[in-house]
Amino acid sequence: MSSSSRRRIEKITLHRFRGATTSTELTFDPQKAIVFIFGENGSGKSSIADAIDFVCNRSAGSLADRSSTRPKEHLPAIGHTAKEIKVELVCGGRSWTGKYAGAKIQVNDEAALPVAHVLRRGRLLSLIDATPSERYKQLQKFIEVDGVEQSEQGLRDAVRVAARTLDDRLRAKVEAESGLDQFWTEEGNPGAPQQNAMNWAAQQVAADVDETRARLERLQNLIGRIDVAAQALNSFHRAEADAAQKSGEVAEMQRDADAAAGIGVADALQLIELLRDARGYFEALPDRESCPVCEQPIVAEGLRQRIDERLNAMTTLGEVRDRLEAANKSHQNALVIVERDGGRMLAAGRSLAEAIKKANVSPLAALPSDEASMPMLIEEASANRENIVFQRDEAQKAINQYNSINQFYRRVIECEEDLREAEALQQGLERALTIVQSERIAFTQRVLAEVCDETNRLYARIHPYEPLGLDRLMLDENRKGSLLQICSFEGVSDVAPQAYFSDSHLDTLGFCLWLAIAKLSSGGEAIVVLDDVFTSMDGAHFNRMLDLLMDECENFNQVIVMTHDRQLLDRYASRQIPEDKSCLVELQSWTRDDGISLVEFLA
Amino acid sequence: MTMEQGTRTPNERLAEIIADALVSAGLVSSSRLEDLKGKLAAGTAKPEDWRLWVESVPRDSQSEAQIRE
Repeated sequence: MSSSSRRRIEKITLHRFRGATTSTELTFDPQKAIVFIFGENGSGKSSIADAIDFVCNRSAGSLADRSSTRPKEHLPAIGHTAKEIKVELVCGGRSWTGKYAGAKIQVNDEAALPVAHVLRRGRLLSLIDATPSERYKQLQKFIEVDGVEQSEQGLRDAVRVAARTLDDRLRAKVEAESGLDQFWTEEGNPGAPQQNAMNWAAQQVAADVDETRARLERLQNLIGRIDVAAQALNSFHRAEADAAQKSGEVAEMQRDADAAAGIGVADALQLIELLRDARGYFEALPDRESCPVCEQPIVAEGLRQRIDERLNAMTTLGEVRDRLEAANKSHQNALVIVERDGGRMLAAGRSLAEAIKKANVSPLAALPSDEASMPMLIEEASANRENIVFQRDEAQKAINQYNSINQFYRRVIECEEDLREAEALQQGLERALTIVQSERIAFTQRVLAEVCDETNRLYARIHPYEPLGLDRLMLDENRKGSLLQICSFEGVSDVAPQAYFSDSHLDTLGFCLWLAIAKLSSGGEAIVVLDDVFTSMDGAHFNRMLDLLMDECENFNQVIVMTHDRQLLDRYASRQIPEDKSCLVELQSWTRDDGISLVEFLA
Repeated sequence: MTMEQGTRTPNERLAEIIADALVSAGLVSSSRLEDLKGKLAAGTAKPEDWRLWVESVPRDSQSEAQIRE
């Protein structure tokens, strides 16, 4: 990335902020990757670092780490209040202003703030001397994968459920096979020993049962037709018997009537009609003196009496006549029913004949089925009904058996399919879990290895040929959120650095670790501020540190180094620090009236 | 030193690695990659999600083959 495209702090103005009792403005050359700010103790270097922290991180800076300080009260320059604080920052052509709004630090356009990492002296040792959980917090934002861990737990649960499902389906398959085995045994183990239950069942269900089903249907239909035809024949016979009986009754009544009349019944009936007509004539003409037929003289009253006597004598005959009429009528009705039932019998018989032909049942199929032979056909069919029912039951039994075998067999097949699916799912989920788990561990280890390797690389720049360093960083498997550091010293590994490293070595180890983390988090886009972190270094190490910074500044937008070490001025004076990459700002001694002031700006 | 972190969180980076590995292993279809990545990173991949992703591979493969035809 070229200098021109880097977002660098160009100007920072402190107003009533910490050591800046007045307004203090510092400008930096944006073409230079490193800014060195030199000043004796108490000249205001930390105030500048804090000002950058105030705007970029909305932080109280060094005061946040100190006890007995209240940032809102102590960030303002002495004698001033939080309302008066203002820090203006110009970076990459844009500007931001930080101030207090109520209890909070407020900066405009927070979303686009420059990224700044500020390292202070007090922090150096804490990186190395921290507890594993505190050390973990330093790297948490790079290695914490709580989201993936939760999803991994979901996958573990899925594996567990899948294992349970697999067991259930295996059990179901065993039960289904057992059911089929039992059925096969109950059927007498047909096909054994060449076949087992499954082979036998597969063979049975492959058979074509459509013909058996069709035969069953034909026999069922035939039985129905036999029953209907038999009933029709019975009705016909009853009708015939009834008609015969009524015919007999008519004949008997005829005989009774003949006996009652002494003359033919027909004649007697005619005479009754005549006498009734005559009585009616004489009632209409009571004074008639001669017979209307022979014209002989008559005595009308005597003649009327004689007619009444003869009619009375013939009453019984009249009644017989009425009964005979009724009997005749009944007989005629019976004959109609015979005719009707005969037709029904014939129709049922024809239907029966058709069913016999379809079912092809012997010996019925050979019998004639003309009208005259129909009663005989029906009777023969009825006589054979039991045999036909037996044949139907046999066909039904065959169908039932097929259905049972099919049911057991299909159940086993379904269970096998379900089991295969469950096995595939469980294997897939287990493989997925292996991948997720191994990638998660590898990811974390990669990040830690990256940090560790970079730390050691930087450390070796400052302490070449010195047999000490950070061997590895690793998560504590037994404790969540805990990061262990393994160091080596003079060939001995797994040592606590605090026990064997000098203060300077501990400081530089802490610095290198911090810088490695800053590189990891910034992706080349951060501003790094180092506030007097090299105080414990001797001349040789300090020089190597400066060389390191000159190289590493390419990995950040900007590096700002605050120091009171005069070695820096000496190197500048002797032009050992490349001028094209760096600039120097020198601070004067601080006074309350002047605040932070500059000596000169050396480009 | 890798500079690819950008604004992505470790969860997002790891989720992408895992998702790609699962698809490469044929355990999840490529058509479900984005859904998998999102839920992995967010920690919202439930047991039923995992079941669906793994179970759907044969079906998804068939659909993809049909689309290609």
